[in-house]
Amino acid sequence: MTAQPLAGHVAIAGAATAGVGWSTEATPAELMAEATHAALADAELRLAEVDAVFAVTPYYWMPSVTLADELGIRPRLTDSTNIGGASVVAHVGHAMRAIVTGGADVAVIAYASTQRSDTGRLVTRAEVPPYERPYGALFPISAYAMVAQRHMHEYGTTRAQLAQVAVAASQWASLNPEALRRELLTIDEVIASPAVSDPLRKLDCCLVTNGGGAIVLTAADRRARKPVKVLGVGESHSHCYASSMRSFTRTDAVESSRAAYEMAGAGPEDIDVVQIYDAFTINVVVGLEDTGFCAKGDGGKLVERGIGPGGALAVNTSGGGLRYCHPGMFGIFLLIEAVRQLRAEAGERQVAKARRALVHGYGGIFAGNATAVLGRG
Amino acid sequence: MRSSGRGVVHTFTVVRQAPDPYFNSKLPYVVAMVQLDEGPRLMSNVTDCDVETVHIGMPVAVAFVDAGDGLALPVFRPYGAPTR
Repeated sequence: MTAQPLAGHVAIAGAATAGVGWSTEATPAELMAEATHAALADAELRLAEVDAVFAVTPYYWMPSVTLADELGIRPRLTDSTNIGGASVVAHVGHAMRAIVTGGADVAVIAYASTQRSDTGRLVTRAEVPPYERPYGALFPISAYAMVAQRHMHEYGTTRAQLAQVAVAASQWASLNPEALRRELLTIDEVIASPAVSDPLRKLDCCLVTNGGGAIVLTAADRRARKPVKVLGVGESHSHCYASSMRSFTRTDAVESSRAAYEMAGAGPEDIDVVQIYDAFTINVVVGLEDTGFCAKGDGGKLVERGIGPGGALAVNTSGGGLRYCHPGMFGIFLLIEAVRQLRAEAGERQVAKARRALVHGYGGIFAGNATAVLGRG
Repeated sequence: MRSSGRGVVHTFTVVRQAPDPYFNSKLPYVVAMVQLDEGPRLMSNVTDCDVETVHIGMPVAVAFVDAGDGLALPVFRPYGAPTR
């Protein structure tokens, strides 16, 4: 396949996290700014060079403008597009196009939440539709539980296969010094954890933590320490809430990943490391199918073949939202981990010869879909 | 479009932890996507049966329950099952 003209012209030049943990006194704006400063230092770029700010967080009305204000800069472009956990992956495409067309030189993409310290549960602006609210679904767990139920019915996916996703995440997290849950899990422990919304149990669900992160993008021909090229991006959005889902087992990751692969001139066989937004174990099963790593319905079998260290496919190598951290939206951490892997800076969890990464963000109830294919050098 | 009020369970979950205190007394309860015979799908509850008996493909029919403030809430019951 041949790469399309936009492929590879923009690079992620810096990446950093901030405030990943259980307690903080910082505000989300302060964490976004801290991550931005660290990402700029990582890129060896100066704050004064930043002329585009992309940000998302449930905390502010205009997050990108809030962050610019916190940084004390006057960008010529900002973008607060919120499509849930897919937002920052979508921002990569938006920033890439802005840079290629001369609308920006140095773009920052940031996210942060202090939900753990503030409420101890998910902080979200998601409004519950009047057609769903009276029925007592847990947002967003019950909708994903219904995805799991339907997937098990249609494809024979098993409870143990779902648990294996969390087990693999625990193995990766045990190798990540920044991960907030580093103890190893067994399939039996996952299945014995408290029932939340059948068939999902507590250990099928992501953590509730604080944290933030930022990445910096520039033109790929600009000098950078260890640039990671944006080879392909894609988005697709099929619905907003569960009651308007066209399918409970197939997501628009099919469309968004197809677009990203086409732009990159690559396919799943070219990918060495995969980051799929794992708010719940079932998301990884469905996401691996819909981004092309196995046939539809075979996600559970692929998980069984191994997605942990030394497995058939390296998936969510940070430990993911299940075991690393989960401050409400995990998208920025997918990107940061992909950058670390492609730069060979992932320490004990480093995937050997990682040259191409796929990042897929899911937002809401599989509503927002954004995929990026990233590459080294 | 008019609906007969009959359909099948497309998918469902048994909720074991309530989203807010209002639902505590109802636990465990079933949230389901019901596929109406005419095609559309909607979220609802499946009531008046043991939660463990609910399954995908289960025939259900609408019932309107008094939700207070003059509101009638559509829920679904097993179709053809004996009423209490």
